Amino acid sequence: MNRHCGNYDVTTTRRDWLKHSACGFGYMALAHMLASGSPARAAQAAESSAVSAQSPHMTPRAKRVIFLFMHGGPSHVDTFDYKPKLQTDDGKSLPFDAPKNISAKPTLLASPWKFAQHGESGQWVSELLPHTAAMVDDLCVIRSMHSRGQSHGQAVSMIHTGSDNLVRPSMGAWVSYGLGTENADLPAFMVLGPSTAHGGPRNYGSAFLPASHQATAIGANGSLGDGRISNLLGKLPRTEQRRQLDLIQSFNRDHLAQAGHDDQIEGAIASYELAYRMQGVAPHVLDMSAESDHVKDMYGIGDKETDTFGKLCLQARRLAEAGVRFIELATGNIWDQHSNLLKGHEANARKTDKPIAGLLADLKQRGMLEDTLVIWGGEFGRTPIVQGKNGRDHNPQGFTVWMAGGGVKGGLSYGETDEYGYYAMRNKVHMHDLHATMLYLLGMDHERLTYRYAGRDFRLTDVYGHVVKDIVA
Amino acid sequence: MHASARRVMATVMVLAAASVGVARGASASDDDLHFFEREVRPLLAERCYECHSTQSKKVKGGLYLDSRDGWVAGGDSGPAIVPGDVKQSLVLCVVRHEVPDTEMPPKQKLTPEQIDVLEQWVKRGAPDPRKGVVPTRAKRVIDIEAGRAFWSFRPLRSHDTPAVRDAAWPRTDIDRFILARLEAAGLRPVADADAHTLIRRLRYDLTGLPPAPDEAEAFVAAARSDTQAAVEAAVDRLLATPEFGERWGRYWLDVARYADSNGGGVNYTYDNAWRYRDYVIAAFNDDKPYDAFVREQIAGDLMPSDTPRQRADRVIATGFLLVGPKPLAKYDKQALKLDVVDEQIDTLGRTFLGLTLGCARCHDHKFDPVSQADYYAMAGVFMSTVSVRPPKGGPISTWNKVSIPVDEKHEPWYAARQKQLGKGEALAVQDADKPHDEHVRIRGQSATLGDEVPRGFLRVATRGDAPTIPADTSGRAQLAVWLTDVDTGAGALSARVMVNRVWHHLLGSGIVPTVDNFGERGERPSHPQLLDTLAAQFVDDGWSVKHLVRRIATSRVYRLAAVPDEPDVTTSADPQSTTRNPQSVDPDNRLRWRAEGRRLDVEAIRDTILTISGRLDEQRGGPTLTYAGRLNAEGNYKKLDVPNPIYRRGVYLPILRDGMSMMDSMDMLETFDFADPSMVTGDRASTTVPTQALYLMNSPFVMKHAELAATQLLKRDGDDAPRVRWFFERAMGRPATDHEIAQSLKLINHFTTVDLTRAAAATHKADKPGNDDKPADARTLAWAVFCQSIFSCNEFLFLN
Repeated sequence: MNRHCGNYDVTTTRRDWLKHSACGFGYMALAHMLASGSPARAAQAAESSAVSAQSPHMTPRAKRVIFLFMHGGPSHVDTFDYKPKLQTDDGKSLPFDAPKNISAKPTLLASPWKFAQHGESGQWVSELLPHTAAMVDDLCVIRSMHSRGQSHGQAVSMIHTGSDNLVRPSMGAWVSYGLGTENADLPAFMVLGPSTAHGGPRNYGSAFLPASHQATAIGANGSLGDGRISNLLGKLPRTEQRRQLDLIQSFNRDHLAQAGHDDQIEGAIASYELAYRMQGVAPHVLDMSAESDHVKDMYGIGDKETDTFGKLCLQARRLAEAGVRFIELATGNIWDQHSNLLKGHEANARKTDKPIAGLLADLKQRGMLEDTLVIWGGEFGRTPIVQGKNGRDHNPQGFTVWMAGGGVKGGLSYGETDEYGYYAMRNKVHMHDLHATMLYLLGMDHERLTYRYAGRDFRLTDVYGHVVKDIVA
Repeated sequence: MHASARRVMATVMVLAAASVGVARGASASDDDLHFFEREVRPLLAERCYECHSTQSKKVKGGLYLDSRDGWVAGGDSGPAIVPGDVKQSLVLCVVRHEVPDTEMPPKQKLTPEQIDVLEQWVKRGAPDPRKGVVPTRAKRVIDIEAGRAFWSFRPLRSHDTPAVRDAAWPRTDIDRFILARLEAAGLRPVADADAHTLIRRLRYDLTGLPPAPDEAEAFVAAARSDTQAAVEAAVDRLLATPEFGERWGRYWLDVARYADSNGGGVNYTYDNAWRYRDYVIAAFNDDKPYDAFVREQIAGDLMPSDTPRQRADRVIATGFLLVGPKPLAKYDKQALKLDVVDEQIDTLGRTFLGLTLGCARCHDHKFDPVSQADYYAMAGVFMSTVSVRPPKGGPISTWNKVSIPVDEKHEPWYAARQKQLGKGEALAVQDADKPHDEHVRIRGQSATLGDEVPRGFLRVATRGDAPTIPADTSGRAQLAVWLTDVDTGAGALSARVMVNRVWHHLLGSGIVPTVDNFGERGERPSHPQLLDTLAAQFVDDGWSVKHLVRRIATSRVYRLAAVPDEPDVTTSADPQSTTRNPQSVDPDNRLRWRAEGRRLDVEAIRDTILTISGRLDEQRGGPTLTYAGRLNAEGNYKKLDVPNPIYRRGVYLPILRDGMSMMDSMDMLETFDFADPSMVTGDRASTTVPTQALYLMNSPFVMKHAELAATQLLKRDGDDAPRVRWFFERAMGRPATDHEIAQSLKLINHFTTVDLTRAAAATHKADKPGNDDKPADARTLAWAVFCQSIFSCNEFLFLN
C-alpha cells in the first residue's frame, strides 16, 4: 500500500501540469502507476513521467493511430510496388541470390494483375485494390520497408513490438503509456478481431509495462464476434447494479476511512466508478446501428464480401472518434499465399479494399484524417519469385507499408526496392524506423519514450530506429 | 573483455597493420593513389562519413573511415579492411548486405558500380594516403576487483544484534535490527494488528487461503492469553499443511517463468511441464534445502542419485531450463540455439542471482561487473547442453525430452490418461555429446565471431580459483555447485536473493525492493545488516526455507498493523521518542514502522471464492492440460476450456503462454496481474483497473460462485442477521458491524423483490463450463447479489 502524504502536493502539481499540457503526455503513465501500489513503481512512474515532461517534444501531428494489420503478408509486387522488369522477365531466373531459407524457386513470377497510375500524384496501384487506388493522393506509400523475421511469428512480433524474439510491449501499449487516454471512460488501446495465431495476445500485450496498457480486445481473427468487451455487462439492470455498487462503495469508503489516506483503496473506488461509466459509454460507442445507410455503404457493410471487415473499419472510426488512442484491426492470417496467389489475394482484396477506402474517406469527410494516422501493412511482403506453381514466399527483405493522414505527405511514393522488388534498396525504412516515425508523428521521441524495467531503460525501438523525416508533411 | 581476449585482439591488429605496410610499400603507385582520390575518397565521403568520421555527430560502431588508421584499427567488429582480401574485408561484407542487421549504408544500398569500386580498391591493397588520428574511445574496462566491493558481491557475514532503547518491544533479533533503525530515525512502530487481522494474514501468507471462521476464533482466543505463542503455533501448523507448498511453489513458478506451452508463433503445449510444477511444490512442502533445489534445477541430471525416484525428480528439476519461451520456428538454427541459451542465462541470472546477465550478450554489461566474455563463458556451458532438437522435417525445432520411470503409485492418474499423455517423459536437458567452448558474438550477432572463451562462471562472484570444468562435460554440474558455494562461488548472492524473496512475500516488499535486481541499477537494501544476518542464518540452517519463513513470521515486525496509529496512541507510548510523524518521515515505510497492506494475488482471490462457494477441488498434483499439440487457432484454446472447468487451486491451472486471455476460464488471471510467464517475476504488479471491477461485477465465474455461496449460506440454520455476520467472517475474517449487517439486509430485502430469475438463467447459459447447477430461486439470487458484493469489495480483496 502506498501512501503519498509526504509528497502529495508535488504529485498533484505534476499531475495537473501533465493533464493540462498540450497532449497529456505521460499523464496516464503516472496516474496508473500511482495507483499500482508499489512504492518502487510509483517512484519510477514519477521519475519517468518527469523525464517525459521535461523532454522537448515535437508538436504532435497525430493524436491517434489506426493500424490496419494485413496478417500473413500481402504481396507488395502485386499491389503497390510496380516492377515493369518483373512483368517482362516472367519465368526467367532471378539474376542475384535469394536470401537463405527460402522454399521458393529462383524463378521470377510476374504479377497477374495490371498496374496503373492513379490520382494527381500518379502513384502506381494494381487493379487488385481499385478503391484504395482512388484514395492514393492521401497515401504515403513506403516501398522500401524491411524487417527481421523470415517466419510469421518473428515478423508479426517485430511489427507489433519491435522485437522478433523477446517478449516486449506492443506499440499500442507504448502509445498508451506515453500519451494516456483521450477518453477516461474507455481503454486507450483496443484491438478489433486480433489474430490468435503467431503470438496472439503477446502482440498486443503490455509485457513489462503496467497491465493497464494492454489492449482491450473485441472479437478475434478478423471478426468482431459478438462485438462486446468481455464482462462489460452483467445480469443486473443498470439501476439495480447501481444499487449493488452503492453497497460495495459504502463498504469501500469504510475501509478507506480505517486505513487513512491510501492511494490503492482510492484507486479501487475510482475504478468502480470508471467501470460503471464505461458500462454506460462503451455500449453506445460500440453500437453501430445508429450509423446511416450512406455511411455503412461506404464501408461495404451489408455486402457479403465486405461486411465483416467493413464492420471492423467502421468500429475503428467510432472508437477513434470516442477518443481511443490506438486502434488495431486485423484481417486474420489470410494473406499468406504460398500457393493460389491469384484466388487468395483477390478474395482478400475484395474483403478489405472497399472498407479501407471507406474508412479513409469517412475520416476525411469528418476532418479526422488530419490528426489520425492510418497505417496499412503486413508483417512482411512476398517474394517476386515463385513458390510452387502460383505462390509467393515470405519476404521481409523488401515490402510496402502505407500511411495516411496524421502528418504524413499524401501522394508520395517513398523508397525503392530493386528492379524485381526483392530487396529494399533506396531510402530503406526498417521496421524500427517505421516505429520511430510513428512515435514522432504522435509527438514522441522514440529515444526518450522509455520504461525502466529490470535495471535498464527499454524503448519500442530498442537501440535502433531513425525518424523518416522525408515523409513528414 | 577477457585479458586473453584483449591480447588476441591486439595481435590481430598488429598483423593487420603489418600487412598494410607491406601492401602499401609494394603497390602504392601513383595510379593506385589516383584511383583512390578519383573513385574511393568521394564515395567514402558521400556515403560513409556521415556516421564514420571524426566529423560525425555520433560515430557508429566505433569505426572511422576518414583515415587509414581508422579502418586499420577498425570498430567494434574488428579491422574493417584486410588489404588485398575481398573475402575478409568487413566493409565489403556489409555493403554487399551479406550480414543481416548490419547492412550498410543503412538507408540505401550502394550501386553495383560503387560496390565494385570498393572491391577494386581492396584488391589493389587498399592504398590510402589519408593521415589522421583515430580518437581513442574511453572504453570502459570492467574492473572485477572493484566490482567485488559492491554490496551484493561481498562475502556473507552475520552482524551483531544492535542495542535498542525499548527492550520490551522486540520478540526476535529481526525486531532489534528494525527497531534500532526506527529509533535512530526518531520513529516508533505502530501497534500490533488485531488477532483477526493477524490470523487472516498468516493464513494467506503461508497457504494462500482464508482461515475458516472457527479456526479464526480459536486463534483469537489463544492470542488473548499469549499472542507470541499463538502465532508460533499457527505458523508451525500452517507450515505443515500441503497448501504451504502450493502457495510458495507458485511464487517460485513466477520466477521460473513457468508455463505449460511454448507461446509465441509456434505455441506447442509442454505436456510434461506439470511434473516440474509438482516437483517445485513438493520441494517447498518437503523443505528441500534451497541449495539443493538450485543445483537440481541446473544440473539434477548430472547429480548422483540414490533411488530411481530421486533420479527422476532430479531430471524433472532441469525442466527449469526448458519451460521458457523459445523461437522454435527461427530458420537460422544456430541463432535459435543462442536465443534459447540467452533466455536460460538471463533467467538463471535474474532468478538465482538478481543479475541481468542477458545484458552482456551484445556488449559488456553497462552497469554491472559482468563482461561479454563472462557471458559467453556461461553460454559455452549451455551451448554444450541439449535444450532444443533440430526439426524432424519442416522448419520447426523441438525441445529435449528425457524418459523417466513412472511410479504408478505416485501417479494414480497415469494409467487412465496414458494414451493422452504418452510415455513417462520429462521436459529436461542433457549434456551434449561434444561439449565445447563458445565464441564471443560481436554485438550479439550469431554469425559474427569474436574470441573463443573457456566455459566458466561470472568472475565477479568467484573468489579464488573457479571450479575446473572437465573437457568432456558441459560444466553445468560445476555451475550448479558454484551457484550455491558461499565461500568461493555465488552462494552468498544466491542466499541474499532468496532471503529477500521470502521477506518480500511475507512483508509486502523486499529489503531490496527490486527483488530480481541486485545489481547497480537495482535498489540498495534498506537494512543491509539484517539481510546479511538472515542470509547467513539461512545458510547455517541448512538453507531451510521453512525455518526462514518461521523466523520472519514470528517476529513482531510481521505482526504490526497496516494502518498508522491514531495520534494519541502514538504519543502515549513514549513521548520522548515519538516526536516525529512516520507518515512524513518515511511515507514509503522503508523502515518498517507498519505492515504493508496488499491486494491479494489472483490465485488467492480465486481460491477463496471457490472455497466459499464450496467448489474448490482439493486434488493435488498431476496433469491438468487436456490437450497436447500445437495451439494455433481459437479452436484449440477453446478445447481446453471444456468439458469441465478446473476448480482446483490456481497453481494447478494450465498456464498457456500467450493464450490465457483466449480461454474463458483463464481471463481472470490476466485481469488480476498474473505474472507474465515469459518473464522472471519476483514482484507481480498490483494494478487497480476498471476491467477488474467489471470482472467482479459481471463475469460468469464470479456470478456463478456467488450464487453457489448463497445456496450454501441459506442452508445454515438461524436468522438472516447471523447469516450475514457469518459470511463476513468467512469472507473477510472478521465479524460484521451492526451497521454493515443492516446495510446488507436492506440490499438483500430489496433484491428479493426484483425478479432476477430470467437474468440468472442467461448467466447460466453464458457460463458454459460445467453448468451442472439448476437455476436458483429468487431468494437465493437476492443473497447471491449480496455475496457477490462482498466478493467485489476492497476489504475482501485486500490483506491488511
